[in-house]
Amino acid sequence: MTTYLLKRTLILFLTLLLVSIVIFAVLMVIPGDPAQIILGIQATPETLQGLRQKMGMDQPVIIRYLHYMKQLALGDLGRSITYDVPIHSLILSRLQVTIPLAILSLIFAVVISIPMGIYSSLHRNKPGDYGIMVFSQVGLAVPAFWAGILLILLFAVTLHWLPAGGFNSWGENPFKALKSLLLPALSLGLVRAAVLTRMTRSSMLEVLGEDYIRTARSKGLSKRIIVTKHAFRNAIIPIVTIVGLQAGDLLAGAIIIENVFHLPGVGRLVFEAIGQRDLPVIQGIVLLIAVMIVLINFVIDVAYRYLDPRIRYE
Amino acid sequence: MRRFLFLGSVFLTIFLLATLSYAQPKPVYGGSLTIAQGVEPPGLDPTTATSAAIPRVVYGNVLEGLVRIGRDGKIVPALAGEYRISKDGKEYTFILKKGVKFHDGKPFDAEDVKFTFERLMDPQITIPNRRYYQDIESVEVADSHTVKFKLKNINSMFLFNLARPDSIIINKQTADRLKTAPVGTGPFKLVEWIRGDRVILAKFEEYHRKGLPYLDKVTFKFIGDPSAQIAGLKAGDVDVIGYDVSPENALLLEKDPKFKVLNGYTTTEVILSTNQTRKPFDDVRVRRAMAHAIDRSALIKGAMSGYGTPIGSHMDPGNPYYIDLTSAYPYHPEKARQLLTEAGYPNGFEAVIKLPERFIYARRTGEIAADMLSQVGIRLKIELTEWGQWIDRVFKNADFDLTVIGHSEPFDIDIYANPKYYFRYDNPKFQETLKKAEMEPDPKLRRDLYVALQKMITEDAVNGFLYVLPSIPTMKKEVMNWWKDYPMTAQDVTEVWIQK
Repeated sequence: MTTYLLKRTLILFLTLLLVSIVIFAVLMVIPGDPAQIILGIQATPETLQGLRQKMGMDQPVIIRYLHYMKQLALGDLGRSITYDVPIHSLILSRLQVTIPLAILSLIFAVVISIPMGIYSSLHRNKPGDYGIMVFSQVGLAVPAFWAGILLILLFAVTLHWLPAGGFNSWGENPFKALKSLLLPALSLGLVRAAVLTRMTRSSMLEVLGEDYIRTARSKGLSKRIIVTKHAFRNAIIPIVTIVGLQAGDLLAGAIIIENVFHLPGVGRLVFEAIGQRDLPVIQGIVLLIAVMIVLINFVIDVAYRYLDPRIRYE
Repeated sequence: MRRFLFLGSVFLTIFLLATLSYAQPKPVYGGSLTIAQGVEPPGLDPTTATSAAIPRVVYGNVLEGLVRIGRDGKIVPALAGEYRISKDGKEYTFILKKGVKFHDGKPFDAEDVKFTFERLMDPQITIPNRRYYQDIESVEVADSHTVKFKLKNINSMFLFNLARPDSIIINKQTADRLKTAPVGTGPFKLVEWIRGDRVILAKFEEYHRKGLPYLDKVTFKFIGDPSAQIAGLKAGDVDVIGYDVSPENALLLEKDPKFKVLNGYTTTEVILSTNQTRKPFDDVRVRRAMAHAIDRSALIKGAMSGYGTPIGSHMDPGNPYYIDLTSAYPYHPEKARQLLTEAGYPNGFEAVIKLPERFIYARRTGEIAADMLSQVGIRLKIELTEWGQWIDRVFKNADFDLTVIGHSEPFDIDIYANPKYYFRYDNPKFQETLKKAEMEPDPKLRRDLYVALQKMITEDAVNGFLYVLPSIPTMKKEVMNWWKDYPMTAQDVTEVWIQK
């Protein structure tokens, strides 16, 4: 396990190094001069040059990269060009929205999909199964942002139960903060639930056809025990894999959904940063996403082992 | 008799005031207003960055200049109670208002004005619009509340430039906080900027215009998605959407008795920008043909649901020098084809139109214009371009045939005097006339010169002059006294109040 951990850490650092190089290169290649975007289209060349100098943009790329890496090694992500605040505090405050949103949407996805998937596998080709499959088909076809707008129309505009968007800080009123995350989490969760439902159903169907299930049945075990202990436990590995992939994908989903619900999260931050060519912020967030994905993969790997003790790490 | 007259006039005044206040509902104090805005300002300093989102939050609300632009587009006093212009037009004397305080408690005086303009002229500070101040020779403090500006030469735009958001007055102690936590003299002070979410302002109790503002709290909420803005308004989270309401949504909300939509104009001229250095657009006949091929009113109907005012030159109808030139090129496809034939393109030609995909109005306008031009044989390939790329390719490097964009800066006809400006219009006569206009002290003669300038670019059909972007602010019907037109880039809420 120790060697495994060491290996993982090494992979983490190598990934980050690669990501930092790639993102630096990409930001060099995409057109759009941050100084011009800040100063607008009327600025004179001298003013532009002055600002570029101030931002250190006049130096060669290699020097800038090395400087950036040196700062990074000291734990400093730099300052945002547009907001003029340290990036780490900017990202930390945004994570207070995005991480709960991601967790909540995963909870929604799992809570909706697993019972539905199990139910439809046990009632295969019956009306209930068809109903659930139609739901998941629709869920797959509907993009999260559209689901979000429909949910706003129903719960905010018509029923006035939940806010149409925006976010109050946790410190101000935790209940209100949670309330404003419900709709966005649900719209992200519904789409994911659709995938997970199909996955659970097919994985369960496969397991339910195994010999040991027949044995368990003939032993006279109760249906509940067969489903939960024998079947589901064995069907869960592919489901966990998908959940892991989805968790990594949540940040990408957050970009769109945070814009629809105007939540001040990391997704919205990176979206605006790209528009403003706030390069240090984009770099910081992409690095963060890389770290999160590596960490999520690690958690999933550990979960495999917990769920299936036969799996070993070399 | 004299006493009688005096008493009579007093009574008459009282009577008139009474009827006036009867006719108009009386403003109510208090309340909190939430305004939805599409773009979050990149910093709150209107002097070092040019994003229009900045003045739309702070100008007139938090920060003020010596003069400002009133609702009718005219220059009115702000921090300067009055001003005098010397006979030769080179010296401006401003008498500052007394008893004005900054939000940090510091009294406002002539030294602040001097500091403000010396900062704007300081080469160490990146001021994008420094050209507004390039004619200032010196700023002198005559006494604590009198400031004299000496100009190198006559500049008829000087006073107007002082009314721009770039010219807001700040004090030395708080200048370095301008970008993150500005301190001004305005009716509202900054409480908090929750980045990515909202800016919260609160009433400044010591504001110098007595009896103002009416509101206790103002929140600018940054909602990028237009349908989310509308949902916020309908759900009651938002009171006003100040601009950028999509025209079809405005049309729907206008019919809803809970809301009202004001149909005014802005200073944003939407034009079909044409690269004058590229063939075949270097031929004035081709450009005139294009002007005849576009049906402005159909375009406004199609792209903007009928909101928007057609223009015939590069000036908005709110400008005091505006003249109506919309009839210069009536919609006449036959004539367009004839002009194209004369220019050597009887079968038309192919070109590319690059549309900034960030702006819905530009996309739609470009698509419809492309369709209209195809009727006369000009076949356009539409390329949607990301904003950063648009700035880089189209604006900086003039790598384009045609594009559609709104020029939001007020009074910006001077861009046609810059041959390096992206549409690359180089006309020495225009450049000379503009210089003359800017140095003309006589208002009447100056007006004539600006009229001549408008006519010149219309005659050359430099760009397709399409329409002025509508303001269409949309709000709950309880919101009173919102600005209908936007003659300056701002959302001034000083006089806005909420009916109980």
